[in-house]
Amino acid sequence: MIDLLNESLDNIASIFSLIVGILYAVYWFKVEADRAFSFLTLYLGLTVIINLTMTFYATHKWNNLFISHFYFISQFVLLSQFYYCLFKKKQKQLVRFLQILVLLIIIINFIIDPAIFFKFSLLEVFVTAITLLVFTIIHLYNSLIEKGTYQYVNAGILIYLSMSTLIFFLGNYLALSKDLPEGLSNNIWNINILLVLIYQTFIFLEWKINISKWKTKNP
Amino acid sequence: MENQESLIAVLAYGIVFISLLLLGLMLFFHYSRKKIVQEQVSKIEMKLYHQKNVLKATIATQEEERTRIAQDLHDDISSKLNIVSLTTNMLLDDTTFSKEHYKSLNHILEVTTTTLESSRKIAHDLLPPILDKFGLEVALEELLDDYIRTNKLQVLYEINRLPLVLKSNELHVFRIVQELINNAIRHANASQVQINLNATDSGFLLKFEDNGVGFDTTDFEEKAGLGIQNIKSRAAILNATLTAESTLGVGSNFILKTNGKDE
Repeated sequence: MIDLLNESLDNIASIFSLIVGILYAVYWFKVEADRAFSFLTLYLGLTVIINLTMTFYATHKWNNLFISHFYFISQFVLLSQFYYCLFKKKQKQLVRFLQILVLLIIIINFIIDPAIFFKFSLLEVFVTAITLLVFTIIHLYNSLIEKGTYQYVNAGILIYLSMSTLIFFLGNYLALSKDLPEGLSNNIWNINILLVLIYQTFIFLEWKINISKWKTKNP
Repeated sequence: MENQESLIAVLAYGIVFISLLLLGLMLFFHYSRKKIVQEQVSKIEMKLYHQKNVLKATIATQEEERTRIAQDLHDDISSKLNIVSLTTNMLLDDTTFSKEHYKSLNHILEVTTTTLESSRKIAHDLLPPILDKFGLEVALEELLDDYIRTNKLQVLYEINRLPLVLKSNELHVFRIVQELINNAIRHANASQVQINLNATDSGFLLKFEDNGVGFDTTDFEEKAGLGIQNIKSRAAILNATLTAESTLGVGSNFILKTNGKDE
């Protein structure tokens, strides 16, 4: 029964992500998309693809943890590009600086400890998440007085990243510990799936409330 | 063993992560408050700027109306009264009239002359024609001489030419001096005023001193009367600031100085 619930929750999250990704992709063709929207769409698409690949590996009982690096790094690059497009001059410089710094840290981390490739890299999860959270807070600050853009997406990223990062910290521990009761590990991953659902709901709301009202391209 | 290590790593990362997140949020609130306060200040500044503009417009309209009325007085009333006076003079030359008629005609002539004189005076007050013809320096000297002639007020003055003040702004300087003297007589009961008007690099510097009853300068900014309000608005048009010093029972001191280039 609980297994069924887990399974269905996972499926619902996957299907919902897929729908939201398709919505964004369709609108990317339909409207005069700005650069920020392009990066966001690319990010959503890539998330779906990585998610599918991980599921594919998992069903074959292969180790899929190495795919997480692609997920975290691409998430970082695309979302920081997304914020780069939204920010003003000085903030853009900060984004560029932090992008380079974070990528350097990740590369050095891999050079020092290549074995980390087949595990979660806590440092990688940490630096990418904290940097992106800095950007979300800056964006919130920018939106204080002027009417901000992508408010829902920003709120979604802020909630999802801050919570899920804590769960990802547990990732290695959960993968290594064989003596943990099965249910506990699953429950924690279920929380993550729930967070994904909330996150995608925010992104969907952004589409429903703002993007769906954008002017479409003249054929 | 490895398990424990990874658990400790999880805890360490978790704690640092949460602390940094909280720090970020605290910084966010701190800067947000600053930004909101800043925004409110700039809103108030905008409002003040707007009010100043309204006052400027009011004064401009007031001057326009004055000019119009002065012109109408001159063109319509004075010229027609002149015709009445001329015609009456012509009739007076006629010898066929009785004595009664002469008396009436003389009366008409008298009334017309005094009315003409008053209308000329009103027009003159509304728009000093001398300002237009001979400039600020002469107009002010004439104004001050008028006050000296009344013998009620002792006026010491030093008026210099102001090459940097635009012709269209001269009227405002004139009105400010007029208003300051009026204030000194009406509210301060002054018996002596001293006026210095000098040209500066940015425009002009006007010093005005009286020996009246003085006033409380703490109220100057907020509770200024209509006269002072008017002076301030004109000062704003001239891009000048008005400062006042006053000692109760000794007298007051007004300084009007242009801020930058006179536009």
